[in-house]
Amino acid sequence: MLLRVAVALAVLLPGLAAAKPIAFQDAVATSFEYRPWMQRVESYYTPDVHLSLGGGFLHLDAVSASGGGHHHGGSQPSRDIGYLRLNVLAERWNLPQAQGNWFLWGGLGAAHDAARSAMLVPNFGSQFDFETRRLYFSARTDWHYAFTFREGDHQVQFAVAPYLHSYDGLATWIVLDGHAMTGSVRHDPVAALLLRFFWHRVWLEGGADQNGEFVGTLMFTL
Amino acid sequence: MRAIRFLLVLLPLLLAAAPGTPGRTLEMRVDGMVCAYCMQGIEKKFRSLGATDDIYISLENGLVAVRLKPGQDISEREARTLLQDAGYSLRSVRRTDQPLAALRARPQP
Repeated sequence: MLLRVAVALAVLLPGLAAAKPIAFQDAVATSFEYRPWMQRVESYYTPDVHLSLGGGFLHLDAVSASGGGHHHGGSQPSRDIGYLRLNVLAERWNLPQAQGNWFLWGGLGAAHDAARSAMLVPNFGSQFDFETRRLYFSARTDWHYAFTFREGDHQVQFAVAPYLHSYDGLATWIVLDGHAMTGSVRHDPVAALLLRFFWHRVWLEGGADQNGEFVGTLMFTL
Repeated sequence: MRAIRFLLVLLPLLLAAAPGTPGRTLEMRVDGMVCAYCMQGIEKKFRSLGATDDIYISLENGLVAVRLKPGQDISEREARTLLQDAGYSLRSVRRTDQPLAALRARPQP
């Protein structure tokens, strides 16, 4: 129940993924995300701290209508969506020993599945996060829209740092992750427990969801 | 005449042996310093400046300290702009003669 509420908040609130869509100026951030039913790769260049440009590729596995597990809402073939996107840092709050961020994004893509291809699939979304050196909260919602389908991807995270990391040291976080998909095919919220590490310009996050399946993200910035 | 020549030779040596130029370290208190990953941009920006000899960033103290090269400077306005461009807010700045090694050795809160 708590997880459903948390993910509902992610749908309603501007959201934030594990990684921010804007790293720092004059840098290229590339990320790879794996979930049992979804894989995503993205890369963005940040010419200015207030925006980044780039794109990604999203693969969604086929879903059967047989029910069971955490799938609902009818069957769907596997679908691939390639997209370009502009991310904007809408607002940042810098406080002593704390920071909040609100990101917005939008763009265009193209989708392909066994039945058809759809061009000009708009995408849009939002992300909010707040963190101190000990606590982290984020919520994200991301949509791809076409005449024949819509995919909504929602994520919320709460994290605690077991120790306060220094600038040059290894940062470690224990993350409770909630993820759900809505739209043409719904996935019930799934919880995952992750460990997050980052050191200099490399970010690695991995763990298992409540079904015992691997979930992970790798990101690096050049 | 010989005395003057002696002094002209001796004077540069005396100056070279003197303590470093006052105000060669820029200590900046910065808000929003919570994520070392995101703060890589601060180091990148300051290191790209010709005036920067070295930099020390302390999340514990909310501190960005830049050691300046002899005879060079970064103005407060320039530092504020750099930090804003990196996505952070400058709260205060002061100039000291502290070497970065001394700042690193300070007990952490």
